[in-house]
Amino acid sequence: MSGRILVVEDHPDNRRIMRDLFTSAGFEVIEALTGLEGIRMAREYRPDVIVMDVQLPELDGLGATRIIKDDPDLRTIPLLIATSYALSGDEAKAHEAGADAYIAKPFSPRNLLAMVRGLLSREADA
Amino acid sequence: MSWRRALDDLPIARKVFLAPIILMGFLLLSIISSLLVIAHQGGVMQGVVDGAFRKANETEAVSRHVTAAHGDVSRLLALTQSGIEEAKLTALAREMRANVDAARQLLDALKSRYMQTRKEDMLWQQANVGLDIYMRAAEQVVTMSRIDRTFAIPFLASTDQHFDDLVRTLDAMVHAAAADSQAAYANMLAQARYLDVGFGILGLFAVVVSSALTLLVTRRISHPIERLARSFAGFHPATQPTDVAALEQRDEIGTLARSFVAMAAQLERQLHELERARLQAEEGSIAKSRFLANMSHELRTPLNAILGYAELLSDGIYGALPSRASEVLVRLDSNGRHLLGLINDVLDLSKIEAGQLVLVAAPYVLADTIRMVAEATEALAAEKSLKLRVALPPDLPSASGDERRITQVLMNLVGNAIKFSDRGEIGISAEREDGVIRVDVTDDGPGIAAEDQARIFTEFQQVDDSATRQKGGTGLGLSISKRIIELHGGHLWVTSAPGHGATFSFTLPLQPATQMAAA
Repeated sequence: MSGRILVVEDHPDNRRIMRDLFTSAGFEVIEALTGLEGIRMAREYRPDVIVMDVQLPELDGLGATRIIKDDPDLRTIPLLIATSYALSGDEAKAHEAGADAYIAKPFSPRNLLAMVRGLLSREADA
Repeated sequence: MSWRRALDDLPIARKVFLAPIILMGFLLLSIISSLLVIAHQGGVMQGVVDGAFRKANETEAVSRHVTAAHGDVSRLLALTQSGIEEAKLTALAREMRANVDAARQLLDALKSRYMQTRKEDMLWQQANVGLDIYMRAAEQVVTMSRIDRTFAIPFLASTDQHFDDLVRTLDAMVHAAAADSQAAYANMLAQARYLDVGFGILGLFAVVVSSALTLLVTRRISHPIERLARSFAGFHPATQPTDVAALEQRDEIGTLARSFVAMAAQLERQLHELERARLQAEEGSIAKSRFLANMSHELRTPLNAILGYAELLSDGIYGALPSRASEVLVRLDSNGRHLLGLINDVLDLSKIEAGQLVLVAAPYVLADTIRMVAEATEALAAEKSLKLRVALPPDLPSASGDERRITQVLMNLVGNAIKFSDRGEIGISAEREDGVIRVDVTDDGPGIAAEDQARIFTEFQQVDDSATRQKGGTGLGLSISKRIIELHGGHLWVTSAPGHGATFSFTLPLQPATQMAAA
């Protein structure tokens, strides 16, 4: 399975983990460091999946997710929110913003990869 | 107004004596007056006795002497006729003159007493003249009788006439004196009647004045108290009463009013302080939950990197590793996960204590949850050669609540059972019982002494501190589990005896509590 994954994450190590993980699994990875940059890159590169952090500079992940999911051209791109916000209701907030999946940090890269693959195959089936 | 002010400033203890003092004053006045009146009336009586009675008596004495003298004259004439000796006649004449002299002396003495009215004065003059005339007539009788008795007879008739006149005059004087004493007595009675009325009026006045004063004083006491009570009716420290009654008074009510105002001010201050403390606590709570969120994020972000890199390394993403490095990597992963568990426990407990642990209530299949926990812990049990046995009735009903939190509780209980057991079996069973579902987690571990059973549910407590070091863990798991079960409306408890293993049980209501937030 191949495809283009947009990783929106400001933490360099976490960004690298995802880059190494997805690259080794055969995906093309493009990276954005802020919410706004994420939206811009989604428009420009049309990724197959977006992995979005929540706490981001300029515009947070939930805000960026809302904008992407409001955009008729982008809303079909599966979007996964990864957050280290552990307080209750984070998952509900992620879904409310329009995310297709949610993973709490710290996540297992294996699980994240499985979820991304799941989103892609769901997309392929649809 | 100044007397009112003076009355208000008088202590109540003195105020209440005002009316009785007035009444007692009147009483004292009455007693003194009556004594004076009695003394006066005694004087009047004395006057009647000394004056009128004695006057009448002495006038009668005059009458007696005159009568005696006239008797002497009659006897003298009778003796003359019988030819008695000269000496005897001279003695009788002397006696007659002595009686007349005595009458004159008495009459002279009475003169001042008969000078009070014109009528009396006239009667006295008349008696005086009558006595002279009688005296002269009597002397003529005496003189004539020496010569011849027959010459004396006509003079005796005139003497009788003068005697009768004199006696009538004296009688009139006695009557006048008696009338005087009667008049004095009647006057005294009349005075007594006036005094009766006077005392009656005085008494009535005293009663009216003291009653009015009592009423006034009572009102001056009760009105400020009532107004004070009204000022503080429905009192709330936030709205201080204005226009408080009796504040200026210097009596006990004034003291009371000032105490009330001081107390109200004190209450207001304390209310403000409490309010400030409450706001501070609220701000503290908000700051705490913000801190929790930040802390959670800040701790998890690097941990994500540590665990993520470890997993990528062990999955060979960065190439094959020497076997010793792989072993260390397992330790790295295990310690990282342990750190994550600690962070989760501390955050959970903080959330529970801040009342921010919100349960996501939804129906779930409890049997599946239990089986999932058993699968997840099977490997851990196998590592210590422990058998994991799950016993579930086929008709176990679905539960409603926060499945993730119930999973956390089950993981904690099964994890503890594995952690503290070195042999035997770990049993997980569930059954329906009296409107609840009861879940038991049983082990064959060392068991827990009765005195430690309550302590293990307290934060940061394990059976002993060495156990913490040997077995790991924060000591928060049971405390958190208990709170989670209680938030679901159930109970969590332990049954154990040292050397006989332990059974941790909890119940979940079939009809879960509608309000499941830890508010």
